Amino acid sequence: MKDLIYYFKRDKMVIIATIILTLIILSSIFANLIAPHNPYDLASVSLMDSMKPPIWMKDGLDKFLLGSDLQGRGILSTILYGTRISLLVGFSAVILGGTIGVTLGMIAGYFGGKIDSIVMRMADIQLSFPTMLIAITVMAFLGRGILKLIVVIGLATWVTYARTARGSTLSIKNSEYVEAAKLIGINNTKILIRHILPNILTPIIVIATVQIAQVIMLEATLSFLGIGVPLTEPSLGLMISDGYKRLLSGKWWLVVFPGGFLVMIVLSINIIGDWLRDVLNPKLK
Amino acid sequence: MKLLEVNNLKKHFSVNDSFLANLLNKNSQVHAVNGVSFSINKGETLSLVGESGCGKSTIGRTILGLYEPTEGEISYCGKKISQMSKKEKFGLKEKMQMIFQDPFSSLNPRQKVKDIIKEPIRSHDIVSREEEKDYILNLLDKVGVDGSYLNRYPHQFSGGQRQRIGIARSLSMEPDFIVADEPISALDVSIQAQILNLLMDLQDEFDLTFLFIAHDLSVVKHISDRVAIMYLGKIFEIGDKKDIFAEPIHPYTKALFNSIPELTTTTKEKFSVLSGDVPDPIQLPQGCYFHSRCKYAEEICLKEKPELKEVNGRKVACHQL
Repeated sequence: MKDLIYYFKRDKMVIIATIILTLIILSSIFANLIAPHNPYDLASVSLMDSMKPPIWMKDGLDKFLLGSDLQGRGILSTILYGTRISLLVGFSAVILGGTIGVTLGMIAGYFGGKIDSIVMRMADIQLSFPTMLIAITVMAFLGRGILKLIVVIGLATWVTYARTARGSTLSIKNSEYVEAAKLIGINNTKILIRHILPNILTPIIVIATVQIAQVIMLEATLSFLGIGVPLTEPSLGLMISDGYKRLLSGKWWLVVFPGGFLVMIVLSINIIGDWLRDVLNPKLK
Repeated sequence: MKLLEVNNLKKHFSVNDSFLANLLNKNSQVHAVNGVSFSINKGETLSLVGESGCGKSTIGRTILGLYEPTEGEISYCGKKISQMSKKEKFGLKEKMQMIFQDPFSSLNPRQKVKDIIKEPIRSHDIVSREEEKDYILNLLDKVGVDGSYLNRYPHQFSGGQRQRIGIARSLSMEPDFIVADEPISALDVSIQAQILNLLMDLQDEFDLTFLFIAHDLSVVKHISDRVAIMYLGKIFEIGDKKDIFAEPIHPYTKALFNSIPELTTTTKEKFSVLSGDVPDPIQLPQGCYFHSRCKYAEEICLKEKPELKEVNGRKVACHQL
């Protein structure tokens, strides 16, 4: 832990990325306190305010700092609320996929034999389809919905974790401390939780960090394609999708602001993920 | 009193476990242990000696139940382990423990010292929760690790200290029988003697029985009561340490003892090395396993496997006696 802080202080990029990410996360969590108005509250939205440009341009209104969209919702408020949904989907899907993947991967690696074959063949089959294709197909059948989206993305990305968990488990399941645990007579579940899991966690954490960014992108893509989150609860992807249709008519603020926000989130997570991978890898020390 | 008895133990490992190999019946096996019988009396130390790959560690691990024996019986206190119930087998874990070779991989790097030792104590309810801390401190004191290190992680210790912690873990359930699988071969020479003496002190104090696996003959001479010489999964010679070290009988034992370099002027003449290699354990040779390298080999050695027979107060497996 001390090492982590030491390396952290030396890397300016990571410090900046962390500050940006923290600000974004905090502002999305406390969106209802910060945002100028609530874009979900239909009573406060007026169609008269539709398509207003940012405040510094001609026709800009005081209450819409970054302009407003077709329905008359403020872009800034919608971004703050939308980020909340994007992050919620990102973290939840990674936790879901990670839990499933690590559990299955550990079991496959530890017990080997038939269980291993079944799990890994399942993974191979799933891996032969692009994650995006699976998500699009399933979401097209199920229809929009945040919970559905989390479950679908979680199930579509478990393979990455499973493969890593299995590989790491294989490399330590024959180590002498696992044998010592067997000689004590503790059961396999406890061996997996106490002895295997803590020792395979490092690569998993790195993958999970990078995956959060990828899942947010995946969610944005699905929403962009119109099969992600519902229209009433816009995420960043849905906002970009909305704005993109009107980009050529000069309403650039509809797409540039949410797009920039998405880029910032993904970029900072990726920088932190890369840094974690370097720091946690003992071979690079 | 016989504490442990091993009867005609065999352990073979499949080399190729794939579906296709099974289908084509091409499943070859490594014959790690090929019919080994011996017994250990309470309180004594039996050393298993032999070059690497001769099945010493496999025997130790099979006795402790890490591997299932392919054939043969292991009895503890006169009771066959294969016929024990699950509960009895769990109870047996308290009685039989192991000290590992590599102190760097035998301790979980993510567990603190106190958790490493606490695990067996809690699993088997050795002492109550209130007494637990004193019990652990006492144990660490016995193996020579300072009690203030309870909250440290294994990587903060040296190899010798780690080995001491591993020994404390093995002793925490108050076992009677310990398999020591080359416990000092991964340590610095300066530490080896310390650990060896620690093991002997602990043996006196707790009345331990050791199955000591080693390839270093000087260590074996120091610690054993009895010695068994192994080659390709078979015992060639077994008997009292004094007898065997005074006068090795089996040609392989002789060759093994001759291979110890001695610091004398005549070293050059006496120092003889066996020619050839150990036969492939997948395709076992006919007859005596040693015949390909034995200078006394005759017709019968190529055809028949020699059985252990009583010679000068010990048992030897050789046709030439």
